[in-house]
Amino acid sequence: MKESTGPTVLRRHSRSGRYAPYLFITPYFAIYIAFSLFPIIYTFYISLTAWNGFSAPVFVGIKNYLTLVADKRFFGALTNTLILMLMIIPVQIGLGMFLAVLLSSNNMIGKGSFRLLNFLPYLTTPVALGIIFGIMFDWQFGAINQILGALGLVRENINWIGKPWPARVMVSLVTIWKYYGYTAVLFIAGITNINPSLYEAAEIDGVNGVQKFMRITVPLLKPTVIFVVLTTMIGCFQIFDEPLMIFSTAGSSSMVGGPEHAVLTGVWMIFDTAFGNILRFGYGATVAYGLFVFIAILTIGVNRLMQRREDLW
Amino acid sequence: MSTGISRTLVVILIGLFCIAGLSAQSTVDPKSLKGEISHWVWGDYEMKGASDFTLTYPNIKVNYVTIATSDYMKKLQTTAAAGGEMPDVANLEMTPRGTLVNLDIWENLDKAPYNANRKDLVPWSIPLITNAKGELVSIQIDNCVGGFTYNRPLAKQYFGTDDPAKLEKIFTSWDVYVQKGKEVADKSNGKIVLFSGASDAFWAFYGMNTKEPFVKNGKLNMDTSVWAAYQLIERLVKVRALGKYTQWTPAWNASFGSNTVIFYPSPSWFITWALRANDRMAKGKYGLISPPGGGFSWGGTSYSISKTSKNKQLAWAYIKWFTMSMEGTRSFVRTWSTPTLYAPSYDTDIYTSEKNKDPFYAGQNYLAKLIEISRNPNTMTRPMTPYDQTVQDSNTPILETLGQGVSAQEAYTKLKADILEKVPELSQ
Repeated sequence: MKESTGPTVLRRHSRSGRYAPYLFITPYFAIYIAFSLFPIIYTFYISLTAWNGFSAPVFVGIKNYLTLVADKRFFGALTNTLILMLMIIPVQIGLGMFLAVLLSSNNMIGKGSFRLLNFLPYLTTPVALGIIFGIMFDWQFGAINQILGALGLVRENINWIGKPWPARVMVSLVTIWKYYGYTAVLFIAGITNINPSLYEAAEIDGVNGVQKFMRITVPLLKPTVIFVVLTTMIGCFQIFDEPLMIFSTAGSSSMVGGPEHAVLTGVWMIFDTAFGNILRFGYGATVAYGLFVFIAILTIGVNRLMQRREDLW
Repeated sequence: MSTGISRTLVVILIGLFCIAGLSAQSTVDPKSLKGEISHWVWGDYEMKGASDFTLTYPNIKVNYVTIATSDYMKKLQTTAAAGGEMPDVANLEMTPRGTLVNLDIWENLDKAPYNANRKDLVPWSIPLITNAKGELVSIQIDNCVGGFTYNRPLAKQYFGTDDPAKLEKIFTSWDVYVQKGKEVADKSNGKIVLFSGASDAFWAFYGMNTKEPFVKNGKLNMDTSVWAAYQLIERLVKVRALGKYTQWTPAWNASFGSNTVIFYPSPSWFITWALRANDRMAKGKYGLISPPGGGFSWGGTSYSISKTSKNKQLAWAYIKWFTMSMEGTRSFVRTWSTPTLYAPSYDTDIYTSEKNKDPFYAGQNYLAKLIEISRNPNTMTRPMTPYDQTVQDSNTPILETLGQGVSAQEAYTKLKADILEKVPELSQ
């Protein structure tokens, strides 16, 4: 029997060929819709209700949003997040970049080992961090106060956990310590992409190390810097695990937000509102959307600013 | 007509059988109750404490599911929100209990078929297990009444005696604590303190002024309780009678062995989980006295039956055995050296037995002492509110500032502002 190879077969093949791509991308979209899109939309619905999780939700419309715009605690959390960002980003990026340059240098011995060692803090769990740093920064017996006292830098022990600004410094140090290795890895990837011939040409021209760094490395790392700044910024908005662990104490109530709420971040406030003592799922969802709007506005603003500064580099 | 009378007789007979069945609850053969129940716990408190349960109820299996204390309420909340299977028996820890008992998800244990007898429980425990409507929705297992554990060598050195009865005759009021605190600080040049810090001192004073709840009619109502405690702490800080330790930190744990702190507020569980845990080699070092004006209750775990449980009868058999029976009491005391709140057990030798003389307390029977404090008519508990945990959470960091010298007035103002910020529906 002669095999049909005419227009009918072609139409059949093109029809099945048309559906095959959709079939292949369906699992991704199914998972995305189920675990990302639906929760986002459902959270918005929850934000329009008063719900403690145990009884049925009660629809309250935009009442939660009206409460949010007048909530001093929310704006305090956003302010704390901005303060922590200003304390963390410059140091983390500077340290990460410095480390990346060192670990990319041809003169460096044991590069691989040092890269691993510097990346290890990123792998530390928040619980372990909270316990370790809680002990190190203890007011009476912590190693930090002992060292500072021995060096003559302080006359009296600093109450890191009990006072607002020391608490902020402590949270910033923990975050920088945890993420500087990861930042360095991103910069190492960026430096690796720079054409080595540029450095060779600069050496021939008699350029020293600092000039090479400022005139070649930094300008060519611009896209990486923008990416790192934006991701670090978003990471700062998500600061939650480490301060929660540091300020949670076994067997008693936790110091939500630290001393005078100095380290209460947006995410911590969401967690405390929804799952804390008063059980406010609805308002917690509202706070989450409020934080989302704030992050979006800030991210767009910073991105545009950094793109504009492109010419200055 | 005769058909109608027959029907009436049948209805009456059925009714009589039902009543007989209900009233025979207590005479049900334990072996006839069969099945499995789930109990969400956060450790082995119940697994070990109720280990004798199967001796009485051999056919009831208790499936324990361990959930971390810090995640427990979230687990209940998310399970209920998602329509998941709630446990047959849930633990209600003291801190969030004011919120939990007022959720309409627990069985009313006053009513049939439970008919819990309130008279079988220590009277001051009732406010800790009833909701705002006055319904009994939980039964607490542990009597968490507290006294003050003191360091005997330091007491002998600074007060001239380490005998509990003589010390109670010296420390007759909170003013005496302030006065003695000053004497100790002056003699030791600040090295020895009465209490380890403001947080310990607060819990030591927690039993004072317990008539009023923290919130009443939508308004903060802490003047007679927290404000009074803050003023006392301020006085102690001024005379250097308080240390700078924060509760539950490694440094505070180390303070037990440091021999620089004289008193620790000690409810029953504190003795096992804090004192013995942090000062294991301290044989004969400690004694226990009653606070002036009666004891306090700090913490505790109670058990409730969820309304969605399919094994309510079995769950009640378990809870009743554990919390309101001699067998349960003996099992619990044997395992954890902690009294229960089952009042009839206080008239037996479970606590007064010579076996309870504890070498840690230099031969003092601390269990009998705790029962004595428990029976003091001035030992009372504060009515709970859903805002209690918020008050405690706000109180914890404020106490730190109080311990650092901030005035009581400033600390109290900050506390109220903090609570109102978290719970804007309340007012001053």
